[in-house]
Amino acid sequence: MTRPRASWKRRVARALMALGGVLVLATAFIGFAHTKWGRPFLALMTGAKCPIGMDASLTPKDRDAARTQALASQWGQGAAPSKVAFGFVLGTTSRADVEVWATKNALTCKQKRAGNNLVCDGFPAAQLDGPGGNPDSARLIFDASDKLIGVALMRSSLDAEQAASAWSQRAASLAETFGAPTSARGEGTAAFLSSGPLRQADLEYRFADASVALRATNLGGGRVSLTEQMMIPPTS
Amino acid sequence: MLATRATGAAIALALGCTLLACGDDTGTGGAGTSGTTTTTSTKATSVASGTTKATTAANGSSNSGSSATGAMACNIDICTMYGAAVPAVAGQIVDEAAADPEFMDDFAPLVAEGPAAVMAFKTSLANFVSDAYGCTTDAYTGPSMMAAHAGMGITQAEYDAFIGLIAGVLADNGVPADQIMNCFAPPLVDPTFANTIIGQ
Repeated sequence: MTRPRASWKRRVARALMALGGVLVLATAFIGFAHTKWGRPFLALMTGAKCPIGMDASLTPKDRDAARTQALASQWGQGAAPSKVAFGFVLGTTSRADVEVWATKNALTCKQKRAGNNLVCDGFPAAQLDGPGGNPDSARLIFDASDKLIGVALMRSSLDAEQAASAWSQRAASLAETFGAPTSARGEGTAAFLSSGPLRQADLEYRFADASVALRATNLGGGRVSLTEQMMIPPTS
Repeated sequence: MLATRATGAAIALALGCTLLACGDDTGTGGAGTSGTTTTTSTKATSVASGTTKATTAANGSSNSGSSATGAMACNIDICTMYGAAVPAVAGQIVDEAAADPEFMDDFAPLVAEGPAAVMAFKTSLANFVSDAYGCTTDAYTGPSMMAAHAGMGITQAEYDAFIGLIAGVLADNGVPADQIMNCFAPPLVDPTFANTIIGQ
């Protein structure tokens, strides 16, 4: 009579211990999965998709179609007077040309996340079509036929004086090439740019076949960024 | 007994680890997680005033905007004044990002999924923004900013460029510069929030 009872107790104890063990492992895993190192595994396991689909892969043609669609509202009137962007010719310079250029200038350029692009850890100031300080990063965008279709330069840690100086030089250079901007907002002066976070000066040129933008933004903490971009539609 | 005690201790330790890890999200998440948002635009106000008391005192005016370090007090109720415009502004942020050379390749897969996917993302962003500024609570149901950007290696320069894009969209939508600076900027330029996105 007592044997079956003892056996039952032992079984319950074992089951509880097993359950406890499973709980320990599961909880430990959940804990790990929510750490910085564990989150990618969590995303993989749960099948969670990146909310903006950065984990999706597109064919080069499909990417160009998406770019064309996204850019559709960006174009203006008339042909751009120039498609030279910082020494490159948009629609003509190839990815191979850029890679040779990067090697020659001792720049490290890497493809960043999805897409057909290169992000370089600097840009030779001498290659700007006029003065304007040293960009600290450059993003180069290529289309499906590996032609360069966009360049974005970033100077991200200027103070207001440096930003204003670079702004005036770059704005003058753009005016010389493209004429009057399609739109302008804010002032590229040190007084304006230093007056608070998100104070911004912006110039845009929109042509039927190219867009150009110069933007200075106060990022708070005394930092001002200066971005400069030129883009054409995919050629393929 | 020993096994039971060891099991209990391990569970407590693991739970502590879990809470610590999740707490990392909310603790450094600032405006990034809806759970940390409070009730109204006073959140932006408090951040702003916390960073610029000296400037406000020096200027004596909320409109002069001559600070070299940060914003002044936000004197409007963001939700009353701009709450209804959040979906349109969020939508424009997505459209601009998808057409910006800095971000277009990141957004291309979303655009390729079609208008319904784009609209769903715009709605999600609008909910996030609404929660972040305290206009709603828990409207945003997506992942935390840390989880959403895990593995992407977003750089400070990319974050800065995106903040610049947002500032441009706010200005394009007629938000006065002083309100952008004093009311909308503080959470965006808050390093604590930025660090939930940068380098994840």
